[in-house]
Amino acid sequence: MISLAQLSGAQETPSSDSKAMFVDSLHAYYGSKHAIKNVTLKIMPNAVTAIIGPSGCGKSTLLRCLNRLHEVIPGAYVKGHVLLEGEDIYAPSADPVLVRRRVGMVFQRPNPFPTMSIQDNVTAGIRLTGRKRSKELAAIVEESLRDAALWDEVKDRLKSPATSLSGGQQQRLCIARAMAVQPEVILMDEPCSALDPIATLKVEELIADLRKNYTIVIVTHNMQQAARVSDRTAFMMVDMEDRTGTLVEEGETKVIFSHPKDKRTEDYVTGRFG
Amino acid sequence: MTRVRFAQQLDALNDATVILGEQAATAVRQAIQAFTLFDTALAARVVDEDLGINRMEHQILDSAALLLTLQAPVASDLRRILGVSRVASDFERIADHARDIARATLRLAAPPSVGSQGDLDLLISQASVMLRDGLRCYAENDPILARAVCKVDDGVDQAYAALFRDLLGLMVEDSTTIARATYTMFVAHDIERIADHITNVAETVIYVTTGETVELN
Repeated sequence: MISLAQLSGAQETPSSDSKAMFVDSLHAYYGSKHAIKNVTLKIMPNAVTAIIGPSGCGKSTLLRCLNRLHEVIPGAYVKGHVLLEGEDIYAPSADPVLVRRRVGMVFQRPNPFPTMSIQDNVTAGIRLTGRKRSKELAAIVEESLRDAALWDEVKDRLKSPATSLSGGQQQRLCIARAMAVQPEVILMDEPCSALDPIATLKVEELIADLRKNYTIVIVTHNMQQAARVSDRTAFMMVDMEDRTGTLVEEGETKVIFSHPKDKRTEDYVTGRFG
Repeated sequence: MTRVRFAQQLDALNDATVILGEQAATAVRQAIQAFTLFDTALAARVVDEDLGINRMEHQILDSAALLLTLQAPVASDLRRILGVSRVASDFERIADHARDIARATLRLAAPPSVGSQGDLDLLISQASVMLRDGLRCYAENDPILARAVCKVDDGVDQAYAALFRDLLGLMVEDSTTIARATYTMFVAHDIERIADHITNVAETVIYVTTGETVELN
């Protein structure tokens, strides 16, 4: 039973800031193009933060800055800081590979490794980082697939090719793969945009469950999805003066969708522009 | 503006609710007039016309539910539709009280004049001000007027309490007044409840315009 207090969004306060991220005065560039400017944002631990905003406002760019995927694009770079548990992931000593292990990513289109089986997809990341006994790997496969709410559907065909799964199952497999390396944060870039409505609802239920163990940041074009799955919402838009993406407002989802502070947020969530 | 059709639907829903409020206010005015002038023909008309007001409320609630379902509104749009639902119910209840006043008139065997006319007049005039300004603050989305409307409710409550005491005294003194005084008490109670519903309307106006939930009664 969900209590009225839970329904109205009263949440337990996280006991510590572990798994929290802090984006501090972040700017992102694609060569000479200034894509997002001066974003400062606290990402709450064990909560789902949704980033919404019109196309081209820098949502996905911001997301990719959170695990140093942005810099993979030739000419792309950032200025500013992103702290994970108080440590700057952009510090010279920080290892981007390790950062990406701690901050996993699920992409828009399900992208399982097509030549691998279901179970090999789950363990791909672990096998890259060191050898583990097959018994341990089997346990990780089961745990990750259970966490991704996929186990019951695939437990009898773990050796089948990942491509034999439906789109929704493939996306949950990708989530299982992201979780198998035990990240602290999972980033999701429009994870349901290629899925049908039922598969979408399954992934949304999964996101709600995952919050217990992970910090989640999700970029979505679907405002109702943001309203349904997230605890906090950040609204970004393009500053028309310099054509740079900027953070307009961040706050509790129930506030953003009921009485946002900024008129631009109100206009966007009510569909009056964008 | 990208949701032109939705904005038009919202406006239409709002306009219908304002019309419902005007019809309820007319019913109240006519019912009180019928009671004070002992005009049974007018009272009968108020009773008859209540059905139309009920139907209109249902149409508004159905349309509001449809917009909630199909348009998934948020923020001020959501508050506007929630507000329409609440206010439409309050207006319908106000019309029900008007109908009850009219029914009391029809049950009276003789004109209701039983003394205490001053208190009754005061109650009626204060409630009428609330009704007029309550409708206006809703139609004009005016949260400042809404707060002012709620303040008048204290005067209504005081006038009602004074009238109640007077009528009780009257009945104790002269038992021939009991039937008429009792109906007058019923009517006064209906008027006091109408003022309470107007307070609800004003609170809803504040919620719709500011997002703030207030209790001003």
